Amino acid sequence: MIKNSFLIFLFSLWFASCATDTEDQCTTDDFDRGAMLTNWAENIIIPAYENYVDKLEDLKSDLTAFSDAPNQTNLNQARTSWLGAYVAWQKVALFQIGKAETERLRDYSNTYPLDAVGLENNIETGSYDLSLSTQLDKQGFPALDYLLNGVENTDLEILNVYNSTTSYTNYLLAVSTRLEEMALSVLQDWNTSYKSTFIADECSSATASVDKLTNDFIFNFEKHIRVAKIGNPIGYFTNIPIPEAVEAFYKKDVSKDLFVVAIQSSKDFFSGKHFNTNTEGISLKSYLIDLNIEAGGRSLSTVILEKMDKALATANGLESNFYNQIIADRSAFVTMRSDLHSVVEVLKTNMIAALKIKADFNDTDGD
Amino acid sequence: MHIKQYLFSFFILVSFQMLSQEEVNVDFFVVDDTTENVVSTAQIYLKSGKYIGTTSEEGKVTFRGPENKSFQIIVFSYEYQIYEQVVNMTNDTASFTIRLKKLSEELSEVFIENYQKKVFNLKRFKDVEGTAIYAGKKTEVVLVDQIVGNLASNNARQVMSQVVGLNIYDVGDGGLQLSVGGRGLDPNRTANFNTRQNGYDISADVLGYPESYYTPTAEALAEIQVIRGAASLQYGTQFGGLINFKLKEPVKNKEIEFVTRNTVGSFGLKTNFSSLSGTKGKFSYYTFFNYKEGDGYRANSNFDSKNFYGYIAYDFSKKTKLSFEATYLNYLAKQSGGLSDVQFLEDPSQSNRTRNWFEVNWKLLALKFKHKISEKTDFSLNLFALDAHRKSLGFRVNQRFSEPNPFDTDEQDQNGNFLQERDLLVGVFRNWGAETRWLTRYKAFSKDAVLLVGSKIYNANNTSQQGPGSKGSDADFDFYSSEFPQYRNQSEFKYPNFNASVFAENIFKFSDYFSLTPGVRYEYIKTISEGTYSPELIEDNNRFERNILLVGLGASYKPTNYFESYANISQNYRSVTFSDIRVTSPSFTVAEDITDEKGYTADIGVRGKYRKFVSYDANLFGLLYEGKIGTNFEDRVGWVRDNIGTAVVYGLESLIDWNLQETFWKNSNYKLNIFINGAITDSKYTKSRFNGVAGKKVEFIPLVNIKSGLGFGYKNLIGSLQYTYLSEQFTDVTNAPYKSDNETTVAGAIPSYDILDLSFAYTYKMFKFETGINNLLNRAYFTRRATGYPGPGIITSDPRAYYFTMQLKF
Repeated sequence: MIKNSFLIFLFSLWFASCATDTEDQCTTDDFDRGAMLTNWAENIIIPAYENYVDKLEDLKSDLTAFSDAPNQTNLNQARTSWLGAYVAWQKVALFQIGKAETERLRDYSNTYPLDAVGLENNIETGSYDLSLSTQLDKQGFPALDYLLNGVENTDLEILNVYNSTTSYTNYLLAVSTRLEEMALSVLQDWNTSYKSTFIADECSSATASVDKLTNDFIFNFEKHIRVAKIGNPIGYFTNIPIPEAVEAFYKKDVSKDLFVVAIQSSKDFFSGKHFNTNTEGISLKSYLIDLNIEAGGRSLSTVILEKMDKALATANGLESNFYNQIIADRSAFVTMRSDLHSVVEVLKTNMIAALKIKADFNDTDGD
Repeated sequence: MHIKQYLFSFFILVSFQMLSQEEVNVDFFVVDDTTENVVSTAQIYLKSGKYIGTTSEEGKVTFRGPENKSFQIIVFSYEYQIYEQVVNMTNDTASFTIRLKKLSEELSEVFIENYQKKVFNLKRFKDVEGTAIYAGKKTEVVLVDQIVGNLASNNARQVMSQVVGLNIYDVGDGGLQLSVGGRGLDPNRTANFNTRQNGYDISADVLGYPESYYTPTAEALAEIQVIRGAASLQYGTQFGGLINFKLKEPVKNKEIEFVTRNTVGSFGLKTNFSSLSGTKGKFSYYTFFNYKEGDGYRANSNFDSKNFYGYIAYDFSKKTKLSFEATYLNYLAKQSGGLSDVQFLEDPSQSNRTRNWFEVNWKLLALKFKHKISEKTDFSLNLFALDAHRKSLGFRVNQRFSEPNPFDTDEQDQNGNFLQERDLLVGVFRNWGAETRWLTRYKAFSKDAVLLVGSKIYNANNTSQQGPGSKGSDADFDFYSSEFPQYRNQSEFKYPNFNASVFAENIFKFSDYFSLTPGVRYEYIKTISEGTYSPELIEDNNRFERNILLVGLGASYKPTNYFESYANISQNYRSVTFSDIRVTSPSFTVAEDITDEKGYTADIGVRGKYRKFVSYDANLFGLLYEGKIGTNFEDRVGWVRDNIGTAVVYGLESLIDWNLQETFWKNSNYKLNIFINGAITDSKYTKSRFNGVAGKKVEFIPLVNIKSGLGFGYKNLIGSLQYTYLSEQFTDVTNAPYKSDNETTVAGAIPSYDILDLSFAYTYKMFKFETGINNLLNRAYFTRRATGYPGPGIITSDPRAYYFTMQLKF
C-alpha cells in the first residue's frame, strides 16, 4: 500500500538519522594504552611496592632489635627505618588499585590523626583485632609515630616504658607486622596475577585500568595530599587550625619530608619516570603530547608540569616542622594549598576531558 | 521531523476520496437457536475487527454501511459458539436473524482456551473501549487465564512472556515486587511505567516517586494491558507507557463462586489464594485473600505477605454503574544483600548481610462511577487514594573506610556483636487523585469520529526519613538518632506535590479503514521538598513548578481480515523523582542540578493474522531522550543520579505465534502452537556533559531479547515450554564491561543468560492441578546489580525451582 510505504519511509528516515556507527568503542583514540599500562606496572608501580616492602622489612627487624634491647641506639635506628618506610609509603600511596584497594591498604597504613586514647586502651586491655575497621586509627605509621616518639616526653622516659612492660613492645610488633603483611600481599598479587589483568584492561570505561588509576592518582593528589596533609591541619574552610592533624604529629620535624616526596611521586608518575632510574616511559604526559592537547596556546603537559614544579618549590620553602609553622604562620600553608589546588584543577578538568576519562569522584569541600 | 505535516496532507487526500458514497441501514436480530429466545449483550464485529455493536434488550443491532457492499460479520456471546456470516448491504432497512448455538456443558481446557483466544482476537482490534482510545497505539494484552506458568509466585518471565522486549528483574521474592522495563528504561520497581490496577494508579507517587511496591497477584488477574510510550497523552507522561493490571470481574451467572488455590514450591514457598465472586441482581462482588511465605534460595532471606482485595459494584441500570474497591498489602522480607562478581562466581547462594529487612504496607481505595449519557456518549469518574509506607533497614557499607565499598564485611567483635549501626529509610505515602473521562462519538466531515476529553488531579503528601537504625539484627524499624548522632546519612523531608492535567484525543475516520488520532495533554506539576539533611541538619527547601504541554499523533490503517498497521509519535516527559533528588543509600548520591527528562516516542507497526494460524505483531520504535537521568559512577562512595545527556534508543519488536494445530490437524482436542517474542534494541548517548560518555550505549539494553515457547495440550492437559534469552547489557553510562574478578564496584555488565521453564496444568472437574519447573537448565545468573537496596551488588536469580498448585473451584 502506498500509504503504508510512505509511513515506513518516514520512519526509516528518522531511524537512519539516529543510527549508530558500529565500530569498536574500546577507546576513542589511537594511543596505545596497553603500552602505558605496561610502563606503569613494570617500571613504576611494582618497583615502588618492592621498595616499600624492603623498607618495611628493615623496619621490622629494627623494631625487633629494639624490643629485644630497648636502648637509645636501637630507638634511633628504629626511628630512622620508620621514616624510611614512611617515605617509601608516599611513593605507593597513589597506587591504591587491585589488592591495595580491596584490602584498604591506605586506610590501615596511614589514617591520621591517631586515636591515641584508643591505642592506649588497646595496649592496656591487650585485646584488639587490628583487622577491624574500628581499629583504623589505632595502627599504621601514625601508631608507630606515637609509640616511638610520643608515649612519653623524653627519650629516657620512652625507653623506661619499653623496659618496664612487654605490652608496648607487643603492640609495636603487631602494628609493624600488619603493615608488612599487607604490603607483601599487595606486592605478591601484582607479581602473580594482577599485573596481567591490569595491563590487559586497556579499554575505556569506569572500571578500565587507565580510567581507574588516573582517577586514583588525582584522588590521591586531591584528598590525601591537598586535604589531608595541608587543608585539614590548617582548617582551610573553618579557619580554625587543627595543627595536631599534621602527618607525623609526634615526630613533628618530618612532615615536610613526607609531603615533598608525595608531590614528587605524583609528578614522576605523570611523567612516566621509572622508579629506579631517570628514564621516562609512556605516561599521561606522553598521552597528552601524542594527542596534541593544548591549554591557552601551550602544551597541556607543559602547563601541568609547571604547576607541579611550582607546588614543589613552595613546598620546599616550608619549614620541616608543619605543626610549629601552622601555629606561627598559617598563611604560608594557604598559599601552599592554592598551589596544590591549581594542579588538581588542571588535572580534573583539562587533562581528563582530553583523555575522555570520566571523573569518578566529586569535588571535595571537606578541607 | 515533519511527520505531522506529511500526515496532515495525507489526511486531506484521503478524506476527498471517501466523501461521496450512499449508505444504508441494516438490522441484525440475535436469537438462541433452540429456545428462539432473544440474546442480549451479544457482540457483533466485522471480520476486519471493526466493532459494530452489542445487542439491545430486544436482541437488535443496527449497522450502517455503504450500499452494495458485502461484509463478513462475526457474532459472539458468552456460552454460545462463535458465528460467522456474509451480509450484503443491498437495500435499506433489510434485517437478518442470527441463530446462535449453545456451547456444550462439558468443555475441555483446550477448547476453552481456543475459544477465549478467538474472542480475544475479536476484541483486540477495538479502537475504543469504555472511555479509552486505543487507535493508532502499540497495545499489548496478556490474557492471564491462558498462561501456563508459575502464577503463585508471579513469575514475570512467564506471566509477561507475550509482552515484547521487556527487561525483567528475576528476583526470588515470591513476586512481591514487579520490576519490568523495556526500551532502555530502568526496570527497578517498574518506575518507568505508569502502573495501574483496574485503571487507577497504584505506585507510591505518580510523579514524585513512581515506584511500584505493590503488584497485584497474578492469580487474581484477568488481563495485563500494556500501552507503550504513546500512552503519555491519556494516562501519564512516562516514557515506558502504561501497565494496567485488570483484576478478575465478578462471575455473572452465579451468586457465589469459590476458588481456592494452594501452592507449595522450592525454597519453602507456600501460598494460598482464595476468592469469592458472584452476582445477585444488581449487586456484584469479587474478593480474595492471598498469603505467601518463602525462605528464598539464598541464605538470610525470607518473606511473609498478606494481601486482601474486595470489590463491590451496583448497577443502577444498564447505563449506570458504581463500584468500590479496597486493597491491602503487608509484607516483611529479609534481604540477603548483594554480591560482588567474585562472590557470585564462588557461590551465588551466599549472603554477607544477615540483618537487612524490608517492610511494605499498602492500602488503596478506589471508587468508580460509569455512566452512559447516551448511545453515543460515555462518562467515567475514578476517585482513588493511597495510604502506604515502606521501611528498609540494613547494613549497606562501612562508613569508617575512606572509600566505602559495597562488599565490605559487616564486622562483628569477638562476642559476635555488630560494630556498625544499620541504615534505616522510612517512606510514607499519602495521596489521592481523581480522573474523569468523557467520550463521545460524532460525525466529522460526515465520517465517524470519537472525541475523548479527560482531566486528572493528583495530590500527594509524602514524607521520607533516613537515619541510623539499631546495631542489632532484628526487624527493628526504629530510628536510633540520639545513640548515633554522627551518622552520615540523615535526612527528613516532606514532599507535598500537586499535579493537575487535562487531555484530549480524537479519532478522525477518513474511511472504514483509515483513521488519525491526534492528542494533547497539558500538565501542571508542582514539586516541593522541604526538609533537612545530615549530619549538621542543613535546610534544603525546593519548590519546582512547571507547565508542560505534550502532543502526539497516531495513525491506523485496518483494511480487511485481521490486519492493522499503525504509527504514532508522542512527546514524553519524566519529572525528577524523590529517588532522583534525595539520597537513598550510602552508596548512592544525587547531583544537585538534576532536572526533568523530556523526549519523544514513536512506533510504526503491523499486526494481524495470516490465514487463521499465524498471528503477528511487529513494529519499529524509537525513543529520543533529552537529559536522560542515569546512574553515573561519580563518587568514590558510589553512584550519583544525574542528567547524563541526550540518548536515542531504537529497535524492532515482534511477537509471532504460529498455531500448528490449526495448520495441520484441525482437531479441537489438541493444542499446539509456537511463539517467538523478540526485540532487537540498540542505543547511543549522542551527547553528554561527562567525559567518555558520548558514543556509549544506554544502560539496561540487551541487543537481543527473546522469549520463545511451545504451547501444547490434549483435552484437559495443557503445557508450555518457554525459552528466554537476553544478551549482555551494561549497567552504567561508561559501559563498564563484565569482570569476573571485580570485588569493589557495582559497575559492570550483566552477562547474557538463557532460561528454560516448563509448566503443566491439568483440569479434572472442579480441580485444577498446576506444576512446573522454573530455570530447568539450572543456570546461575543474575538480572540486576543493585546500586542501593536490596544490595548493593549483584542480586542473584533463582536456580532450578519446582512448584505445585492445586485449585478447587465451585
